[in-house]
Amino acid sequence: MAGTRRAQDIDQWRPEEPSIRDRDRVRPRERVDSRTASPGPRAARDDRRRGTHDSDSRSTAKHARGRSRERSVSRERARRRSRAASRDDDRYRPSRGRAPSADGSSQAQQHHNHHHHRHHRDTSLLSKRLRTRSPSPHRDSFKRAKRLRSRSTQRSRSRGRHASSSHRPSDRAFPPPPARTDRDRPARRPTPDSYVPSLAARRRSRSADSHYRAVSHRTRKRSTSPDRRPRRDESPRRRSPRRQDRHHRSPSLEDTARRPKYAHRHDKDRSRSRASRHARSRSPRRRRSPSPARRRSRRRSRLDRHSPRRSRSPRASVRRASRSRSRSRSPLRPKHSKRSDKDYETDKHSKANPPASRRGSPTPESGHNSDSQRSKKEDGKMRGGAYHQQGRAHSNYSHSPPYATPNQFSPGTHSPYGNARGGWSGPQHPHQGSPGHEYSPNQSPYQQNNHNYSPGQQGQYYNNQQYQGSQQQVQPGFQGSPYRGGFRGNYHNGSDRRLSGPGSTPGYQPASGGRGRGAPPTQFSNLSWTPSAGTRGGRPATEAPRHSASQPATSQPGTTDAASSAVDADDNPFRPSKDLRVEDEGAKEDKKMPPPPSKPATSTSQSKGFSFSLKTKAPLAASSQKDVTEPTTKESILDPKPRTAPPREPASRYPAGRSDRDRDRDRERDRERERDRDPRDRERDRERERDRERDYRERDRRFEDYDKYGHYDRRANYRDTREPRDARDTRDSAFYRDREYRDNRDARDRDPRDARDAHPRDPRDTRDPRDRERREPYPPSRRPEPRPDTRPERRDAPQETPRTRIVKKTRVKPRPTLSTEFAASESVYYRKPGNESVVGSGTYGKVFKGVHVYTKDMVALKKIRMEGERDGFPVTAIREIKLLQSLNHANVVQLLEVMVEKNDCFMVFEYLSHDLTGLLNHPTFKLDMGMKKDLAKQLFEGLDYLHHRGVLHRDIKAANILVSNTGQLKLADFGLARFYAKRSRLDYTNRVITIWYRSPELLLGETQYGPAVDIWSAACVLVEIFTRHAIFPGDGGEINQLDKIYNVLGTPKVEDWPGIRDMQWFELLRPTERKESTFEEKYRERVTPAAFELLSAMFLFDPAERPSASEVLDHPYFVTEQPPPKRAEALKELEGDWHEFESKALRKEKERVEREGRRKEREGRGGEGEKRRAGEAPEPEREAKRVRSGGEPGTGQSQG
Amino acid sequence: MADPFEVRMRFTSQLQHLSASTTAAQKAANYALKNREMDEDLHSCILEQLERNSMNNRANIMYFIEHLCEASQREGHVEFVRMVQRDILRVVDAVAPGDGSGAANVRVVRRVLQGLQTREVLLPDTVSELETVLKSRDIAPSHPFIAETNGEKQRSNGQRLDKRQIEQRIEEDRERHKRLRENIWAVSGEGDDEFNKLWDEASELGDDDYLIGKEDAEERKKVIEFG
Repeated sequence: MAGTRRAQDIDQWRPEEPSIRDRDRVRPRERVDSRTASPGPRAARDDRRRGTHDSDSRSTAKHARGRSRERSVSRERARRRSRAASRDDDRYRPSRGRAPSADGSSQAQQHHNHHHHRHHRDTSLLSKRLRTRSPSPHRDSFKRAKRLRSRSTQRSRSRGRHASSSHRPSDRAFPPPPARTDRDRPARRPTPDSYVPSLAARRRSRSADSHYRAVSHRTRKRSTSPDRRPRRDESPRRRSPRRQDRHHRSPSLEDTARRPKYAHRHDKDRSRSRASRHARSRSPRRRRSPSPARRRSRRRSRLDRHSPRRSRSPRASVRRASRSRSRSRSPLRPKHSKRSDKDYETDKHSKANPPASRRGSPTPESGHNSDSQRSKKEDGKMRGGAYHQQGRAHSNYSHSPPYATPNQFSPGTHSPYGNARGGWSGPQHPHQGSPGHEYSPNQSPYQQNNHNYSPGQQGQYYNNQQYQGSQQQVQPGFQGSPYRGGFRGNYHNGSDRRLSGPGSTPGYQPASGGRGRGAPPTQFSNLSWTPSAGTRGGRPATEAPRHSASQPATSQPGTTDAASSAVDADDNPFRPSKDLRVEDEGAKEDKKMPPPPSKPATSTSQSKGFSFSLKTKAPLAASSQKDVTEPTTKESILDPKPRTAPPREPASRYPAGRSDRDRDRDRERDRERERDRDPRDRERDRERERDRERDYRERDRRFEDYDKYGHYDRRANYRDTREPRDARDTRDSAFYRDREYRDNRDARDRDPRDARDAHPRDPRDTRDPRDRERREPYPPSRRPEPRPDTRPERRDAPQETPRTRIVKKTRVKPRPTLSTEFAASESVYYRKPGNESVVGSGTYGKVFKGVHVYTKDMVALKKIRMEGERDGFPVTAIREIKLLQSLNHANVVQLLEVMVEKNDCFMVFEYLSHDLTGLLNHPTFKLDMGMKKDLAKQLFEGLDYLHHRGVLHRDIKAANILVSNTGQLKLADFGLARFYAKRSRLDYTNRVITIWYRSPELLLGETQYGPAVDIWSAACVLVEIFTRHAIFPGDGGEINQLDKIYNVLGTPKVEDWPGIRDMQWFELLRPTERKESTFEEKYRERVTPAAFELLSAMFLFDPAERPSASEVLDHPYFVTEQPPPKRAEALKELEGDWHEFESKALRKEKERVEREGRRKEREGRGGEGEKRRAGEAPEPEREAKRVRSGGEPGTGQSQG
Repeated sequence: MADPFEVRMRFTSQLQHLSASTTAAQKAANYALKNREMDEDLHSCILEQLERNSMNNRANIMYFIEHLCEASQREGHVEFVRMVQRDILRVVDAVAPGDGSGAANVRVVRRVLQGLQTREVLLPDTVSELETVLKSRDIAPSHPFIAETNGEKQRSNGQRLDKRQIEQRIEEDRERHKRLRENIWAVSGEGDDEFNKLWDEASELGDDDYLIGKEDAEERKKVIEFG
């Protein structure tokens, strides 16, 4: 099974890799988003569901509760997460921290959502953007705080909501609705309305987030919820990231008043989380996503394996964090408010320092990094390169966080996205094609990411394509497709986030927020880049670096929240990258870094204050200060969006849950949005320009090399991310681990998510083992490179114990570094190129010699021949596999696994160096009597086992009997084997067994035969063992074969074989004359007396008279006659592998030499020789065969 | 309405190229029924080809007759069946001649006669009569495996099939057997047929069953260990 599993994994990896990647991406994103956004989205979904009774309702209910579990594991996980949101949030937060990437992804998703929302609620988006922009400086703090909060909040929300179950969802829904309101709010809001209670709602909102998460829309929802959070809870989210923020957020719509306080926080958070809030807009997506969610769940379930782990870990971590957070949220809220204030200050600073946004992005980057890492891991599994690219992309996302706000702005500036879309649309549209506007944007980012990735690796392209495809599917249901894309991105990010998350829960939380943010940022960044479609690839790269820098920051913020000092330290380490990116930013980041704990609040405050006023202003300011403006714009966008969105969403969303106030607010928001739209567009343009400039700057500074998008970018991103992560990672890793473990504790989430988490985790953890296995086999080169980078970084980071731990793990795993050959091997089983590895070939196909690149175990790869198979996979292969799986004996070759690779199916066997034909034809090696007896004994022991088990081998021959270099004999090639009815005679085909070894009854057409046919074959092999030549070397025809037998054994007599008269072809193949047996005179002198007696007993015409295998083993030859069996240990000293294949080649070579010699002779004779040649040509071969069989055998024969 | 001459030519060609595959026989049978107004001519074609072609082909035509009768009964055109009933002895003589050259076809004739009997084309009495005829033509007493004295005299009648024909026949018989095995396992599904079949095929508990049980237990134990 293990073998099969491996094969499956392998198979899955490759084929699935794309899918997995997609899934991972989608899932992580979705998960993250769902977590963050999910609450709102879920609520919205719930509302929608309630209203529509669509899959959304299902998804929500399920997500929110057991249904989700029941449905898709991934969904369930998400739901559980969302449900457990508060709980999960804590866990998730860590995961978020890890998830920074996820956050980024979520952000990306959110961005997508925002885009959608933007389209729907452009004004809101604009407002959000403005707010976000203003917050953007805060973003740095926000990024940290946001990451923490947003992640925690988002996650917590979703989780909390989920945890809270329906109530929480509703609450969460409320907060999310605002974000959602931008686009989806109506549907979402309803639930939010129920959640309306400000604090409770916020908390609930978290739960709602969880719900959203739970919902397939989770990503969107998450993003939405995040959006909501950012607006209201953003600060809390970022700061307390978690539930409090969410709670605040949920009320946020109502809390607009509160917002002023939180506003900055929220704004910041929003800007950061706003990506998530964009997710609000996304929430609509979530609504849409519900179906997508389902789809996603499916995907997730698929992805779960890979991504699930990631997502799980992040989510789980987030959940845990969120839980703790959610629990603490209420307290956190005040804290957040305080923090928000601080954050505001910090945000202001950050604002002053445009880099802050970038810094903020860094967190997302970290998230991205984590995601990227996860994605890398996943990709590595799937496609090493892809992961890297993703990671880069994530990094981009992380950058995006800052951008995210900008992106969010862009959402506000949906048009920008649209533009971006347009630019990207080319690539994206193919994917999104159907999706539609918003979807396309979201998708586009992903696609962009994908594209970015794709440049790096084709595999990534595949992933992208797949993702896109999935996205498309999702899109139909909800804007979900974009969400999907976002989710995908988020997922990847999520994985990264998880990674970062582990480092420090707080950090993780921020990271998580960062993730969500990061994702959006990435998206945004993508978007920003998209505008300069040409730069898509380049932008991502730039973004990636930003992300990397941002990620560190984000992780730091998270740490700051949890442990500000540690975070700061982390931030500092990251700073370099940031510095590389933008010196100013780096400073800002640094500044931001410390603020993070407070930053969330500041960010929120900034976001709030900035959001409205800054919306327009911020963009302008942003234009002046690119960095600042972007973040502000983003935040503003987010804020406006949430605001605007709320009106829209509230109408749909709140109606049920929220009061008219919400609706009014939403309306107002819508109005504001409309008003803001123009400014927003302006801002967007400005932002775009700024982003471009930033990008260029970053690129120039950091990414000049990375512009290629390819591996460099990814690598760089990875490195950057990893570095930040390293510090963070250590924290994150610890957190993640804890979270992950906690997550695992969440049986629900863990199960489906576990797979995901495992993958995400794996990416990190796996990087070493999993990554190696998965990545190495496929893109070993890719993996190794990124790993080493990450590892050293991590090692540096290890200063923190978690880091060190992680590093150790990673190091240990990576250290097993494969040789270049193995590393280059596309398969787990390395085989030499060309025909060098072929050790056998036949009608069944070819057999290759392979080496497991990790275990170094030698294997024989039997490639199942599919050519000419009109009926699909050959049933004979199925039968062979089934048979082999049921057999377990020392003398039967062991089937290790069945592997599908590159559209080929391989049966993986243990490898034995020789087969009997090759061994007997060895030019120098000779078996002594004891060794021959031992081989014979093993042969019949194997046969005895087979017959005892009711298996007819039906192809016993020397070439199918393998011998290891220790003298161990194993029966192989069960391609003709079948189970037989021991106690009844059934009809089987008589066209079995290589004709030289075919018993007379089969040659005469018997169809009701039994194990005696194998005994005959074994007797023939026994003769070969003794004499080194085949006893009945016919020409391949039944008639000639019978003649060969008659020539040795004489013609059968009816009295000897009564049943002969019933043979089908008794008349048809009647011999022309009677013959007497010459067996005795030919063989009595060549074998020992007991052996001759044994052979005589087995070479009886009447199958009923032949001894069974067990009777053969009791024969005096084995029991009493000397010498006793002796294991052929001397084979160890035999150089090379000797199979029939090699011996054939040797024969051919000899024949060729012989021919040449003859030709020369003939030429010497004259022209006649040539004529003869043509006629004789065939004969020499046969002669050669005979010579070979007898071979040197000939000598053996004579000798024998 | 096709040209009678052309129909005859085409039908003859089909008979000559019959193979072991069921589709070839059914195709020829359908063609005969399609031109049922010339059934008399077509039947004469069958007899003509039976006496003109190789033993392998005669065996194939024998199987074709079974298909033709089945198709005729299905189509309600009993004329072919009636003519087969009338000329069955001649057919048997052609497929399994008494000179020993057709010994290899005796099995085919027996099988087809059994099939025709079950289809009520032939009466059991007729079949039993033919069986006595076949018995004398079955295995030549001169067969080297049986003959007490070295049967150098009969070495092989000139009709002994050449090597290529023998191998062709072997392949055709394998093909027919393959088709046969496709339905050999079929059970009516009514009553206890399936149970009885399984019961009959089931063996008594043996040490091999204990071996399997032991292996299963070990595997299960393993799984639990690693589970």
